[in-house]
Amino acid sequence: MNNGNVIEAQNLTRKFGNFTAVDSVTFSVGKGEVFGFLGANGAGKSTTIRMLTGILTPTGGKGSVAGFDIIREQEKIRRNIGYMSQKFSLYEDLTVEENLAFYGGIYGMSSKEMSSARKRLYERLNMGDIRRRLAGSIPLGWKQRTSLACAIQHNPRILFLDEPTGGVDPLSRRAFWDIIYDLSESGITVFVTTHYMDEAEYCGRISIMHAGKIITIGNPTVLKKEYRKKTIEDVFIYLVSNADVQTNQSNN
Amino acid sequence: MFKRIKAIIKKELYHILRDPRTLAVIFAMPVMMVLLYGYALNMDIKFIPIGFIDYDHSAESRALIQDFDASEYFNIKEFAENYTTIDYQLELGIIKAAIIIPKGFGENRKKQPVSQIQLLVDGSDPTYGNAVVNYANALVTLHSSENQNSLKMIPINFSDRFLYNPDLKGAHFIIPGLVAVIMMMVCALLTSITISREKETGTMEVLLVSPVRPIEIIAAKVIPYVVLSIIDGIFILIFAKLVFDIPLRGDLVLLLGLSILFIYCALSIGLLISSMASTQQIAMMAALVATILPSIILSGFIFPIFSMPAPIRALTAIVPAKYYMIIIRGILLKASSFRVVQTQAISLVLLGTIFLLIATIRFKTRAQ
Ligand SMILES: Nc1ncnc2c1ncn2[C@@H]1O[C@H](COP(=O)(O)OP(=O)(O)OP(=O)(O)O)[C@@H](O)[C@H]1O
Ligand SMILES: [Mg+2]
Repeated sequence: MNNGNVIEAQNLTRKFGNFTAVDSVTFSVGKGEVFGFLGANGAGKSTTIRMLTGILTPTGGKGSVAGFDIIREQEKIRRNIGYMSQKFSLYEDLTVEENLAFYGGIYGMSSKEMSSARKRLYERLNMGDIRRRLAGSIPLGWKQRTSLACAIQHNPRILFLDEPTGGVDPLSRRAFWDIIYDLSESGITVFVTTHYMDEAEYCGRISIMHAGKIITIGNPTVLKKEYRKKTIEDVFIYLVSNADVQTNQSNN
Repeated sequence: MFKRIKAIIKKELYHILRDPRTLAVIFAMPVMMVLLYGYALNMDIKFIPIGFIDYDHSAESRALIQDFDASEYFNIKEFAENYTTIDYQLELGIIKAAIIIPKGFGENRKKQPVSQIQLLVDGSDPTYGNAVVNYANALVTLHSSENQNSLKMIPINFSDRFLYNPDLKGAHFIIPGLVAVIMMMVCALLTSITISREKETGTMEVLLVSPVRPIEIIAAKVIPYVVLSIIDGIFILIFAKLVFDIPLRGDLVLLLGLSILFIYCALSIGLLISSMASTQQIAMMAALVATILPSIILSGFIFPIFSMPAPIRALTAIVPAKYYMIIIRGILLKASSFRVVQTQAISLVLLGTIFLLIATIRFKTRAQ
């Protein structure tokens, strides 16, 4: 399974006991794409990301990231990806710069590589002013930028962002998405989960997940046309309530 | 690989240096405990293991031995033929005191106004030392008065000579044990907290997605605390030497080597705890119950193990501090050689390996 796709999932499934958190999802993401992974709370977005990044082992199906198998070649995958987890991954008692140095270090970067990467990032993410502040003391929007900087300083080919903009104001979100665009233009593939429907409009392609299943997948403009809705939010609401009706019917 | 480990160690040092609570545990706690425990504690002690050398084999000597045998304060472990056996057993800690009845004791008691027997006390342990002297004195006084009617009243003098810890300083006995408690605290408590903290805050997940291997994470997290606990141990001993003038008699290199075995045990327990605890709070409670309390209560640090009820005494077998207590007291106070403490050393290796195995199995099953 390749043909230019850098992420592939085939019938990927994860069960926790009897509960199926991710139910046989199939999708692929091409190089340089910004792929939006939409879904309500508990839909299974994080669980999918954790399988792709090798934190969780799938209970069914298969997948590959950067051409490597997600079950057998996790170590090779790790060198090629950046990951920003839904929970904060910064050490609050370290400064922004120390956090960056730490994450650079665990990716095996030399101090020379790190200082040039830092210089570039401070400029690009406009965060020169906060570099000496403790990560615990800066506003949420800046924390998210710092987390992003930590995830991209080792030049990953693929970036996994799990709700990177949760809880911040629209302005900060917009700024964050500008950076995501930049990254994708430089050839980095971005896999991003969100439950902000307006953000979905910025993505090249989106998938909508509900109760562990992907219920639709495609380009946002095309999807809106297909379902004759004005916004992705409307598409989402339409599909999710439909899916609920269907499950209710099949239950009866 | 070294770059990755270096990065984690550096980060860990920032955590330690910037957290007042951790600093307090590492530096303020030992000072406080040395001062607190530095003053001897008096307790009721029973079943003190003692030995006898009876050179006389007379009715009088047997009567005296019988009185000791009947007392609940003493437990006669050994009837030795000569001094060498007794000395060896004192050194091993099998007995805490020995009573030597000289030849001619029986004759003497009939004819002379004053007879003498000799009492040898393992003075490295002043609690026992004092207790043995007091109880034995009381018993002998009683023995003399009981025999008043049948024999002439003959007071028996003790010519007691304390071994190892001639001036019976409580601090001498307590402080080496304190090293064990503090090392356990730094190694087991702090390592388990630092690992569960990463789980709790979610940073562990990001570490696991990076090229760092779990074994590197553990190694890098453990190294700073090993170094710190060794520094702490040395710090306590130097501080105690200055304040209480405790002796540093034995082979300090041997002590350092055996301390590393103890640290190995403590770390294994710390890892075992962090493999089970998902939050810092749980880790802290578990470490308190599983390491600190047993190290203080069940290790012979304060309460003598031989006066505990049998089930509790059996439980002490899995308390690493129990073995280390014997090692560090032996080396510092009696200048014991490796041969004397080798059983304890082997016990530490076994215990540490068992804990580590369980922790590894738990980490593996939890990873899924
Ligand atoms: N380790 C686990 N054990 C049991 N159940 C789990 C576990 N991890 C996730 N789940 C369950 O799986 C479901 C999907 O969780 P997931 O975190 O993937 O959702 P999500 O789409 O990321 O939601 P959110 O927007 O809240 O982050 C949830 O019902 C969750 O409770
Ligand atoms: Mg999630």
